[in-house]
Amino acid sequence: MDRMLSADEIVRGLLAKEFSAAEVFRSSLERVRRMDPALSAMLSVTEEAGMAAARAVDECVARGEDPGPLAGVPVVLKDNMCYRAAPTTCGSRMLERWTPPYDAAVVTALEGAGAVILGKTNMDEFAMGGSTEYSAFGPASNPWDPDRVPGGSSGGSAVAVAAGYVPVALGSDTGGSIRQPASYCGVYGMKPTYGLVSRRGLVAFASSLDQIGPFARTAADLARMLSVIAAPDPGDGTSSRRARPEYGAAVASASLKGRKIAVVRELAGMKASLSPDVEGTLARVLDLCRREGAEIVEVSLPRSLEFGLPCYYILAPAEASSNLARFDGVRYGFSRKERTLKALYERTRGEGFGPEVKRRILTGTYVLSSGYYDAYYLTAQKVRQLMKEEFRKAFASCDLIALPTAPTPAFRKGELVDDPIQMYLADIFTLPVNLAGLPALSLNGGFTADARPLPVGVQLIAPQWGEEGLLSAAAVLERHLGPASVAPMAAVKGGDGR
Amino acid sequence: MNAVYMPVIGLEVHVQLATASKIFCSCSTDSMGAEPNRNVCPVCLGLPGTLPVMNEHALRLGIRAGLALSCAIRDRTIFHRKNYFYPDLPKAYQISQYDLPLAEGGEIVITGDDGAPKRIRITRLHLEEDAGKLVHSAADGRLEGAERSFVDYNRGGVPLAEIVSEPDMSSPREAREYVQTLRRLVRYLGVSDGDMEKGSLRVDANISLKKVDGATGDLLFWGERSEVKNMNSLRAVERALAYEIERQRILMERGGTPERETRHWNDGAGVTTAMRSKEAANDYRYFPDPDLPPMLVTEAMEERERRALPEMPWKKAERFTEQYGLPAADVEVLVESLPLADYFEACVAAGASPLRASNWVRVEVFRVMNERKLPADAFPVAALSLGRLVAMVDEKKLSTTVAREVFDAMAGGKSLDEALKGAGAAQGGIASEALEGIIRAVVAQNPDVLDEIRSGKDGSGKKRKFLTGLVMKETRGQADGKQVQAILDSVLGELL
Amino acid sequence: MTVSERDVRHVAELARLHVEDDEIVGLVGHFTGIMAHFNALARAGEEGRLPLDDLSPVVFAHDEIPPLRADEVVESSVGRAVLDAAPDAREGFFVVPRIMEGDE
Repeated sequence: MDRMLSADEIVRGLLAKEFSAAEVFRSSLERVRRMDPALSAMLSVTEEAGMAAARAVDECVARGEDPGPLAGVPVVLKDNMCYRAAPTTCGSRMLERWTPPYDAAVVTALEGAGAVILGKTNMDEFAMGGSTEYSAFGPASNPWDPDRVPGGSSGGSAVAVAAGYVPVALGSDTGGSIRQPASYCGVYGMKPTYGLVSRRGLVAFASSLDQIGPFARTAADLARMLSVIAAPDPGDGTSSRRARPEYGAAVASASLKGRKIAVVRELAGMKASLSPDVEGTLARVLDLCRREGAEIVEVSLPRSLEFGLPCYYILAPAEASSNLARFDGVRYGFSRKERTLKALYERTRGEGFGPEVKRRILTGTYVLSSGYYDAYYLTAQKVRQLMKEEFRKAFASCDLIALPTAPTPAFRKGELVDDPIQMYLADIFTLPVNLAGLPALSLNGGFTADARPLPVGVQLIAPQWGEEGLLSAAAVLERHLGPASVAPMAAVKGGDGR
Repeated sequence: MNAVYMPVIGLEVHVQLATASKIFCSCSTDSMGAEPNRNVCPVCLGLPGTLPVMNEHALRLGIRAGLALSCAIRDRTIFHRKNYFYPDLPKAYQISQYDLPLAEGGEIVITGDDGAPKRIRITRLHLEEDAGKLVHSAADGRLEGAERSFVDYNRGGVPLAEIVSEPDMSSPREAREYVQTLRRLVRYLGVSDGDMEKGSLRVDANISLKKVDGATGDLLFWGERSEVKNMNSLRAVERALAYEIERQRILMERGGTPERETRHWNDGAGVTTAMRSKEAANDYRYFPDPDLPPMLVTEAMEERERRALPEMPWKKAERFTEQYGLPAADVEVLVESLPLADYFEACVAAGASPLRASNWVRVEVFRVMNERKLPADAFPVAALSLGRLVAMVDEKKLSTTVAREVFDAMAGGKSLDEALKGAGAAQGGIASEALEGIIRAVVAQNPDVLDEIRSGKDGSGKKRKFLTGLVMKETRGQADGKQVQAILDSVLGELL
Repeated sequence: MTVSERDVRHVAELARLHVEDDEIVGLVGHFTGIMAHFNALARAGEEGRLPLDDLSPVVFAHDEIPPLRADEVVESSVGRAVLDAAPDAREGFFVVPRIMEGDE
């Protein structure tokens, strides 16, 4: 069991009775035990519930019944998805001991598909951040270089897949929180179209932007996960009712012949902030696309790239300031004992939230407050529509848009933690996708030439509901680039279990 | 110069919509007698990760009320979040509507202070969720304690329609009249039970005073308005506004100016007091709720609700006056409740005369309803039966006294026929042979009276009348007076 | 628009968020930095560089109108569990510091 199996391989092996789900689960647990002390990707490990689920899968197989498309596949959840078997902390002191009395829609879907939940992963507090350093429980580390951040906010999930704890994981992406850590950790990460995956049971950061999506090491696994979680949900008013395809078919019949892949004209003017590795990797991937028969075209996204950042950092905090107002110390979670109501509120929130969450709540409160609403919130909502329209027009002349996922590979821990605005700039290529509600994925295009080589991601963006196009392109490129590599244990300092 | 102070009153009425489940989750809205925090779920407790899903029936009732108020219904309407912190608000925002309400620009007609119909314009009707309830102490003292308040979220998430009027009322009486008219309307529509005691109809008032030159009518000064809350009955609305008018008038007469403020009506003390508010102006930071996409009000939906509209109470009142020739006081009582008005009409349809039917409904039916605390639509006597009974009284087949007995028996569960038999009455009255037997018996039992008649002392006919009375009593009034007279005459003729 | 210490304290009050005195300077600095980006956007809007006039302030990622929920009651027993885990609960109520009737 030393070779890291994909979800596909696990399901096949299980059905062929080469191994049991319990064995797979134990092997995953072992990997976590050996590596996670150094990587801090996990906030909780649900050994008991996971083992029970694995045994149930094994019994199902023994009875000759269909154990489901993710049978026996160990999976981890970002710690902002509700799961009865463990606390849902959101990486915050505010919810440190809070266990939800219900499961998120995606958790129900995973369990229904036979997946075995291994635990909950580290994240920036309430998904606000791009490095996992804003976790109240300490930062996670990049498995390729533990001095560097794994990205964020879904850093723990990206690490769990990159370090081989699990073949697949779930994260959430509000402004790049799946794609950017996928890029930094060298794995696949997909943010689906807004409305494809139910948000019920996902602790909201910015409701109009949040979307759950999968991490994986192969395009086929990404598709397999997406097929399970992309279901309509009448319990989420923003969930789309449209029929979902079996996404595996897009991978099986993958081709780029005759597809138009667009580069973005404005990128040329942004080279100063772009690392040469990122630029080179994007060029290399585009070259592969061309060799596979794709036509490389050019589109223009001036507004999205100029105004995406302010637009996002107005709207997301505005919604967050309201979404996080419920954490007041009255009904659940962290609470200060105080003599007056005002003190209860202010002290509970002042101590329960970390610095980045506070910054965003304050910014969000400010842009919604009387006298500023029109200039900031309203303008941003309108510009957001211009961005949607800009993407729509761009997709009239292409099938996919290629952009870097992030301007640089993973940065060093501590490098940006006290300079939040610099950290925000790392989201410049991912935010517009959330604002426009589109699907996008990050795939690993290669590694830097550093002594400790770092993965570099490339982002592909599709039109609304265009997940199949993304998966098809990723599968074609995977034939050249190979599946995502598992970070060797040797790369992890002190991570060999001693 | 003689200054006159004219009140300017606008009302915001919150009406609890008559749904079974809450507006955004499936919890029951019926918490009468329920333990605290019994009808709650993760959604209405605002637990992390939960999402609201709109109740279709609440939307339909909102549309129906909007149509009945002659409002324009918006075909795409959305919810906003109203953000503020308070322990009864589990998400720290209330899902409400802001600048795109469900219904706008309607009107309702009340009887003005001069007795003429007066139009009160309706600014808007919007949907929102109710907050929970704060308890400061319980009746049995369980929760006494100066340092804590207690929160029950059973009411949190109950659907409300907020109906906002223009400041078109000019007296506490008109305000009361408006609330009463609105309450009757929502009850007619089946939109709400409109019960102010239970809190399913709540009134906030905005009131200001205009100072006008009594001679020229020129506006001299218009004071700031205060918002009065916590008026829990029609009487409280009238009293609180009367108090507030006096308070503002005295203040202005002394050269002061009323402030824009929120005031709390204290019913026991009969005064309004300024509510302590930490921030000078609330900043609710309204923005569209991203969890709730627009609601579409299709033409079909609007049409369906339009068809569901009953005859409006004011139309019914007009018709009752014209069609049945009832006095105004009767009409007012009968149209107050739709089931009662329907009951009355069914009685008339069964053959009762309108005036007598009206009397029976207003007196006897009300008496039984009050005694047993029954709603009109659960009344045990079928309108058809009461109608036939009243018709028998109309036709003088029964006396009122016996009819009451029959009615009481029916109220106790008997059918009309059973009740009639039980009261010794049958349709068509008493056969003459039976009557003759009774008369002979009465005469036989009163030999002294017979002697007096024999001796010619009954010149004035008093003794005969006395005997007639005894016969009527014996027959429980069912006998026809003339028939009794005739038989008595012939019986006495035999004996004299 | 620049942001002062007073502004930050005001929004902190609105957000019911206690901030220590030594956090204020950092927050004012952060606001100043991020507002530069926001103001660029606001200016572009005000100066008419962006065609915003006919746009609605209501934005949803897709245009589907969700079906509404049927008015049916489903009992939940979660109240008890939430109360049991609540910071302060008594006799089936959530407990908060005393609020006087008439307070807003």
